[in-house]
Amino acid sequence: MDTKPSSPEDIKKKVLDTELYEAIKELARDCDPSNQSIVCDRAREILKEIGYSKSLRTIKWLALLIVKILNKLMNGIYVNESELLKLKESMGNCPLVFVPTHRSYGDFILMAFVCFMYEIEIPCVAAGLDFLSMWVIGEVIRNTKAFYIRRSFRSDKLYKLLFEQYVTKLLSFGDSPLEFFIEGTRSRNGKSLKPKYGFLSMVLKPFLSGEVPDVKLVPVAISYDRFLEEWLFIREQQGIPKPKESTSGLLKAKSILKENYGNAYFHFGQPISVHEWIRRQSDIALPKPVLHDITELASLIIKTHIQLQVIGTSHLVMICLYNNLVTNNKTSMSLKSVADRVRMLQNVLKSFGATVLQLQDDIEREILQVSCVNARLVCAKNGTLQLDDQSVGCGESNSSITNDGKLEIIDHDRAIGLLLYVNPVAAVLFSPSLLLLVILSGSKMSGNCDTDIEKTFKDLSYLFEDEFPAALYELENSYQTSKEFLLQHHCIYSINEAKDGYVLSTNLALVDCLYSLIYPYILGYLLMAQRLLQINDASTSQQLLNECKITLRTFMDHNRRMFPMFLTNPFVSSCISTFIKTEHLYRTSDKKFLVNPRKIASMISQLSALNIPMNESRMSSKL
Amino acid sequence: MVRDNSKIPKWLAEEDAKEDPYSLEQKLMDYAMCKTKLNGIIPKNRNEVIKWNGWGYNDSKFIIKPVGDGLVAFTGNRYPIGDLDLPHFTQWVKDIFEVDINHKNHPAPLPPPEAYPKSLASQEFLEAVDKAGISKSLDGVDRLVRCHGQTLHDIYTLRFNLKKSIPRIPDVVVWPETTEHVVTLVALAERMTMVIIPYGGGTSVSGAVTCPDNEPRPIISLDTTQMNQIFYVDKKNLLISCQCGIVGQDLERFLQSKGFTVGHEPDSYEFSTVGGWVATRASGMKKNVYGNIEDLLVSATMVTPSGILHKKGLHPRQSVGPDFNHVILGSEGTLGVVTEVVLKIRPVAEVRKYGSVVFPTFTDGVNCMREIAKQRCQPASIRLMDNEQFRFGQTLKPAGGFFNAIVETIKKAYLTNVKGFDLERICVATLLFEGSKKSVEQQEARINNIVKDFGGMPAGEKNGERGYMLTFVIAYIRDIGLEFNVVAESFETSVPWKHTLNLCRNVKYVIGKECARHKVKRHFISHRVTQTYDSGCCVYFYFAFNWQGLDDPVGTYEAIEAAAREEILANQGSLSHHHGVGKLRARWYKSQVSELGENLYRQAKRALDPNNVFGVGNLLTDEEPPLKAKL
Repeated sequence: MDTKPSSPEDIKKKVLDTELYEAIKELARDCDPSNQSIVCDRAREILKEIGYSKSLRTIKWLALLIVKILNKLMNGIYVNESELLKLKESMGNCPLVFVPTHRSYGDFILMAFVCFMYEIEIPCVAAGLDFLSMWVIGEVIRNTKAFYIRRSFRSDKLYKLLFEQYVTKLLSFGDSPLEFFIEGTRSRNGKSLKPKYGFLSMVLKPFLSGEVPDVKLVPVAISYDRFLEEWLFIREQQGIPKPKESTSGLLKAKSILKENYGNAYFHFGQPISVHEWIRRQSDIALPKPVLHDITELASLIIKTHIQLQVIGTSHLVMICLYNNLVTNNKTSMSLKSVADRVRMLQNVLKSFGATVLQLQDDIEREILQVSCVNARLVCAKNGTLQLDDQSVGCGESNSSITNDGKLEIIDHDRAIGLLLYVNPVAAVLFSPSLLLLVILSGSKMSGNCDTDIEKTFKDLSYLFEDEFPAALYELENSYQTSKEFLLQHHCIYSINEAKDGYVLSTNLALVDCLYSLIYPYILGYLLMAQRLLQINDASTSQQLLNECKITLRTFMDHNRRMFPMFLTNPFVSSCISTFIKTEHLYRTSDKKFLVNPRKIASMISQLSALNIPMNESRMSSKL
Repeated sequence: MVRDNSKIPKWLAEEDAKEDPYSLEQKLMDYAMCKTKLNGIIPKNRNEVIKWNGWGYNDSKFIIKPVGDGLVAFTGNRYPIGDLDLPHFTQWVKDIFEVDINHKNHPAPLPPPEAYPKSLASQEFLEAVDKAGISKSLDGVDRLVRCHGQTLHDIYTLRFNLKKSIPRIPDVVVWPETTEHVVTLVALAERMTMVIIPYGGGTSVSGAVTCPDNEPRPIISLDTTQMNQIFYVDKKNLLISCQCGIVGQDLERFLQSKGFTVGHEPDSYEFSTVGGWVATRASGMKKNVYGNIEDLLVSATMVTPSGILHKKGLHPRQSVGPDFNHVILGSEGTLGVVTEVVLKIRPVAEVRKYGSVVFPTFTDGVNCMREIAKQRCQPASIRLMDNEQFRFGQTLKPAGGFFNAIVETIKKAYLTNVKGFDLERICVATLLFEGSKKSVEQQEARINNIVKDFGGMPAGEKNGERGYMLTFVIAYIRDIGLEFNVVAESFETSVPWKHTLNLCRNVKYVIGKECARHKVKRHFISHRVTQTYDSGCCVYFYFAFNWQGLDDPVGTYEAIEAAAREEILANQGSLSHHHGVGKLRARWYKSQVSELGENLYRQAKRALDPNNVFGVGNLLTDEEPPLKAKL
């Protein structure tokens, strides 16, 4: 409480000074006296690998370099200064932990830079061990207060124990805020990943044991007008592995320096006091958090990320084009109708608590600017916005035949690129979209009663947990707020207030848009489930993945449709892993999986009951 | 040889035919055993000596003198700071709480006789009491002054809410003088469906003597202060047998005149009674030498509706099943009235010496206390106050050198060899040694050696003495605080050594956080370690805030204290070290003793008091009494 903050070396010493480490040594000695020195050496090695250090010279030089690069790359970095200054003021009475979104390698560099500019102690950031293998850079990052965390703890218990202690001591005795990425890795598709609980639990430990009075978690959304790694992400999502982090790779990547990436936005949320969130049980020697508290806290953070992320005009434009593509099967749209929808969406999103940039007076001009920054995705021609510049001049063409004779509506890279911008908005609107879909399918069935709707809504929210993890935060509440949202924006209206019967209302543009955000997911899962039902042999997950991928491609080719997520590996793999989690697929002894036909069949009937359009003719007649 | 009888008192020299020789022998025996009835400091009319709406003596209080911008002073001559101006304290109050010293809340006056609610006591009961020769009163003031203890809620209610309404007060006050009187009263209450609340010094800070608001039965306030008989002082076995109503300071004054002491000095011992100590499991400042009340108590007599609980004999220790003294200890007036006790006594120590030690930080101080406890070489008392309390203590000095001896000592030492003392961080331990001259010297040397290992150094005898004197004065501060929109209260816990520092830090943090949440603008929180044990210590918190702008200061205070208590429990602290559970902490009782433990207590209550005559409502949170009396 009145101990002085400790230096990086002190923190390591403190880890070796714990009762736990004493016990490790004793146990090692008792097993075999020669063991002890081996264990001690190993422990010191591990701590050396983990431990951060701080070199003011490195930090200053790096800051200079960053300013140079940023000047070339970006127009500006925006920060919600008032919240940050408030944070700065409140620092000191308990440890602060920044929990930013992770969309780019730039995240932690810029985070350090922003703190540096605001004269806040640069946070100690948990960095993946991959960086350490980069020549020089690995140590440079360490000198700017990064500590290294292995991707997997499983194979090394000593490492796990020491790492946990290290984090505990950083929080209890360190002089800097901490920073970690709750998603564990960069999200490659603009959508929040399912949170990881491991590091979060470690952060709670010193609080649970009483070593610190509280821990304040600060969600931060770092948004970019355009991702630095845009084209890498698009490739990775199609299954091309990411290049290994290397210094030569970094130098090669300087080609990205030639383009303009617009703005970055740092949106600091209000600190979440762990004291108010985590129940403590006394009388337990090794205090553990209640699992439910952790999952709830994690989804609160993700949910906050989604509300904090900055949605710019480019996102809104992309949503319109996506909607046009998925629903109408068209790749171009008139500038005017884009502008109308952009305006409408902006209001809708704002009313739902999202952070949306203010539009300029001349929307059309702003939309044209979008097409400049994102020239690889969209182009503006003759008063229309187009996703497909191959078909320039063909007017409202909606398909083209590639050399190998396959039907291709738009270039796959471009479709996936589109998703990068659609997904942040999809994450905001997921729950109302899902509820809308359930209500609209239900209205065609008999017995449209509220509890059925609510139950289906909740079941599906769980089904899509991997896709939209934040939807599970306060699910009870989310059902109500989604309903109110749909009523408020005239997507549905109530025909029988007592029985809660709803039918489609007048705001068709919004309904159209929400529908296009959700139904490909249902459709995709349905198609994959149908395909899996036909597989009788035990297969590896890779085999299942390939089968499903082919199914989705075939479906699109066959129906001359384009659902961008169908092209991506994460979509298929999260479906498979969900099915494994829900035991629709079960593991056999040899790392293979078998289908549980009864469960899959019931899922199929559940999903088909939602009555989504499966083929061309029904699609156009649906709405 | 003829004896010269002229120097022998007449009553011994000549045998009086009328006098029974046996009676003389009895008289002499009594004399040898010091049998006597004490004239205690608390008279039947309590309010003649003791404040009816605040702490302590009527003549001792903090006042504001109209000098300059107002100047705080302490009245009376009972304490060393009496009749002195306190300019530093005045400034401290202004700085910490931003109070406007010229704006005063005037407490409500005693209500006029006709304002009190009519007594519910039946004529039949009153006649029976008279017949038994027990003194009683139906007077409104007598009843009002016995309706409460010393919690913030009690005092605030009397000072400010009395203007609106009078709280639930006892219907009749009785002053029994013997155990037989008490047996009679309990039987009457049992028969006539009445409630008895035993009342001693009235210093409870847990709500344990406060009349329950919703009690429909007539309430008898059983004032024990007239039960102040000493039965004997057994100099051979070092025991004293006495009645329960004897006040701590009276007991000590009496015993010390005979060369003995019980050595039990809770901070309230000027006013609290022997029976109250037993009923709340009190702890005394000098417990390291003399023990806490459970160590001092050899035998007790408790009158319950089902009979008298009293174990046979005065054995130094016994293995005769569970010790039912421990049913009496901590029963908080819910099972019966403690009427007589036998306590251990010790010869008065040859030397009593104060001391003080200063540490660079509170952490160093706690670590040192832990080491001293580990070596089991604690002096009679050792207390460690944090920096806030140290600074506060400095302000309660008359005009003159502000930072006095302690600072001087540090400065001198700083120049020579010690570094790292920061006035914003230092903390001070006060020490009290008792024993033979030689043993005190040895104790002191040993302590100083350990202190050195923890970066501390001796800071003089005067500072120690001041520290202990302030203990008694601090209790008076709340009353003046209330006059200037400041509520102040203390709460305590006991905690294992391992968690002590965490608990102190975390509770301070929670208080700060809760103050912000409740929009409290200025607050003061400080803590000190007041007792040490082998495995842990007692931590005492002082908490005060300026309630300007708040509608319900007491509610706010209670909410914040509850949050602090939750934090204490989460940090492995106990529900109470010595204040007791009462009503204030009843909501946590079950969680601390387990469900079975609570049930065990309920069954004991059922056996001893099936109709809930002792319905003061402590320990349990039930809306309904455990077994409702048939009306």
